[in-house]
Amino acid sequence: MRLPSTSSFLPFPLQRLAGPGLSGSGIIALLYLIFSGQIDLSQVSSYLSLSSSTQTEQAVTTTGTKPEESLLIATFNIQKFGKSKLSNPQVMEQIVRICKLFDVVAIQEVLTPEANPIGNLLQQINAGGGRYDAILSTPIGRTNYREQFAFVYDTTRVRIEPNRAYVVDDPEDRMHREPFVASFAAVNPAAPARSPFTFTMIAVHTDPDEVDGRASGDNELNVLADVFVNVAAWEYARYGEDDLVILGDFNAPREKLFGLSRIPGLVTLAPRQATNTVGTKELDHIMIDSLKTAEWTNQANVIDYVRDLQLTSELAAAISDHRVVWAQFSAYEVPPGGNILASSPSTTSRQ
Amino acid sequence: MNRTPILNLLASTNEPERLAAAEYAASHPQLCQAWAVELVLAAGDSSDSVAIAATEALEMLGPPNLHQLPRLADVIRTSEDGESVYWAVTLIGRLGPMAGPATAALVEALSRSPYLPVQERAAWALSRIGTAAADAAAALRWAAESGPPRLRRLATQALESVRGMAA
Repeated sequence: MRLPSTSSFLPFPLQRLAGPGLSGSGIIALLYLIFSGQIDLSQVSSYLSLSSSTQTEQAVTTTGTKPEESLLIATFNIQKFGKSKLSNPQVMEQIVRICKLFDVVAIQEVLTPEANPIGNLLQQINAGGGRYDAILSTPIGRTNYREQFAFVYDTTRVRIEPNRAYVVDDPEDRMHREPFVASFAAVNPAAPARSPFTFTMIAVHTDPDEVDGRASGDNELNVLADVFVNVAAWEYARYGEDDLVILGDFNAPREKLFGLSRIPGLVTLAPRQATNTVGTKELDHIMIDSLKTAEWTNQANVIDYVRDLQLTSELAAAISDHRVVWAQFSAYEVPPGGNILASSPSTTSRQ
Repeated sequence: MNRTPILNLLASTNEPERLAAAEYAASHPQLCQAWAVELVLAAGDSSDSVAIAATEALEMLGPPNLHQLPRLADVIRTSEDGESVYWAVTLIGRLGPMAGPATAALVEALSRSPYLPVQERAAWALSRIGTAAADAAAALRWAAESGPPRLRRLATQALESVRGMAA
């Protein structure tokens, strides 16, 4: 993997965070191979054919395939995703079910690398006929408790851009868990003449003690604003990429996003609602620069495991303390200010 | 789970019992403020699984009950486990100005802990306490002048806060 040197970022303004630097030793993203089927997941395919009340699930399953004109992106904080969850087949079944609904899932709180939770997840997804792959960050954190980010993606729907995954460089240690960045392009066999949607995703998981008004200069939501600006500048200058999606567990509701809320055009996509499983707090977001990313189809929402997947509250709590937030994008590039509905007439109404 | 069983389970010599209690707390942090000190100790458990579950609970626990302040300060003074001390400091910081009586313990963490994240969290906690932690000024000045970069930055901010000069 060819990695740009840290010094190559220096032309960008160094504000509270240095920007999206890469270090060869500290930023090893592990690409997982597609796992061949070894487990009978006929149950997975059968529940996908059930008449679920989940609009997302219906959109995917009514045709048996995902819509060609659009991509579904999600953020999923799988609370403590490690050995304990792997050992619970009921929980894993639901996590597999959820991930299969989407083309790219940004997962937070991946733990215990020795238990290989993402490898196990891929194995179970692909045993049911999926062709998913994943890329992981290194374990990140200041204390012995460290987490990994992962992007799990459907290789039949998107491809990852090589050599463009990195943990954001943070030489002044402004963030407890530095964001993980990766870039993707839609795979569009149906219309190869059209430009596929390309985009860069920034996965975040803030420290809840460092996101409120008393966090002064190191408020991570202010640092994330710098991250967004610097990653945007880097990706545009180096690759011409102007579509960024920043998503994850921000530990803050939309009205308390501090620096992020001061970036012109940056909006959170899902309708206002709780994103923790018990339904009391909005913590998770998918955000885009609405002045640049016209590919969003105006469809976004939150999956309530009890309401939408018809699970018991006990099973919902066992899956995670966070709900999934998702958003839909055109599979094709749309110029800023373009009319997504005109270019993607088959977009389903799923809000 | 009521209070007595979870307290007993968190202190159990049996790892699966400690894990069950910590996982319950991680799933129901809003119900577990009364067990904050026990969870702080569990964050330093010899079992990684127990420690991870306790950490998850502590992250979402919110501020502890004020009456737990002396016991949290004792953890700072007596525990040799960096994770437990880190979380004791964090919970104290979440109490804000009400945690003024724990200033001496936080100064000890700032000045003597061999664990940089503990020193940084102590500076952060003192900043949260503000003028009620005025006695920490000398230790903060030392950290602001001689610590590693992040500690220097946090200590400088805390120094302004305890002097009543924070923005």
